[in-house]
Amino acid sequence: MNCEAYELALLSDEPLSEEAKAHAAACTACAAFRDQVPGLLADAALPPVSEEERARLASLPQAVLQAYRAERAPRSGWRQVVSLALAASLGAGIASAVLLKLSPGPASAGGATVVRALPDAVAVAEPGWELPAADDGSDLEALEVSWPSINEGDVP
Amino acid sequence: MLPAPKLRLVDAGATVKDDGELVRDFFQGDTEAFGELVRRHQELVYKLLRRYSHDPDDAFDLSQRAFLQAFQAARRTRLEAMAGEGFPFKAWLVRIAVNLGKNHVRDAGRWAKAPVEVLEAERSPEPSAHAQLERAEAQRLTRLAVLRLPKRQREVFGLRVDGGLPFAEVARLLGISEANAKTHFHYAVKRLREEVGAAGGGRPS
Repeated sequence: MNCEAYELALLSDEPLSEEAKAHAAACTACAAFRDQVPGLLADAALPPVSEEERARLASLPQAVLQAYRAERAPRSGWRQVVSLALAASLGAGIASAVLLKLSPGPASAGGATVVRALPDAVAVAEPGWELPAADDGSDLEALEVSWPSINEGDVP
Repeated sequence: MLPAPKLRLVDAGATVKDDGELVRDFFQGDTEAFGELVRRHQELVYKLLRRYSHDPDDAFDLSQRAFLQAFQAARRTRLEAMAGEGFPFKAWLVRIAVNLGKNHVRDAGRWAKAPVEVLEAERSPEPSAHAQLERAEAQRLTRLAVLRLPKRQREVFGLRVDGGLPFAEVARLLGISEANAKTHFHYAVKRLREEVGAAGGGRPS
């Protein structure tokens, strides 16, 4: 066993083998590593979570839910406003196109009538156009992301 | 052959839903599923984020943000959650929490104040003797060195030391092999030992 393998074994979940113990007994560098690491890890560790902290954690689910709803609410409202504006402008377009179609067109100089056709887009969208639901899933643009980016949560 | 059901038996016919099912239930309007998800993982997230926080309030706020961002990420991929194919919510959460924590201490002023000094100052009823001051200084140096570890080493170290997780679970959450997780931890410890020793901290061997 070399020093690298000993250090890995010392830090793993499993108990040390006899071979590892024998190595440390004969290697001063590994013996120093063995003696120093527990103190190092103790210094690095944070104090246990206190009862006060646990009590506060009990309110976390409700706090997160409220924050989630608050974050969703303005976005839904904004989407509804945009949807209504789109619907209104489309409705106005359809109405004006229908009025133009029903009204007699101006006579041409030669006496022929000019026929005005509805634009294809308006004709297709005409009767059954519905407002999208407030949560219509249009935020699924990132569906190809199957794992959070390494920078998820990063501040740009 | 039918796929195995995703419910885990606990006792006398009682069952526990996995995270993916709870995420799916939440997006179908089950608020209790949301609460259960948060309760299930809040302690780990909080423990991870304490290292990057100035005080418990800070850690609590960061934990809230971590869950919020995890649900937002889950919402973006909710069709996969509906399919119930091992939706990796806990792994998302850990990744997001660690990134949030890192950004939280990005401000150089915060690096000088690990949370622990505040927590321990509040809990220590007696004035510090010389030995206690030395110990506190060693802790401060060591914890600052943890924050300076490379990202992967810091992630593994946090899950292992703060989260108290076995290497197999650390590896699963980070999407790496168990051997790789052990190696990162080993490098992290060696680096801490060098840094703290170079700074004149640490305990006598």
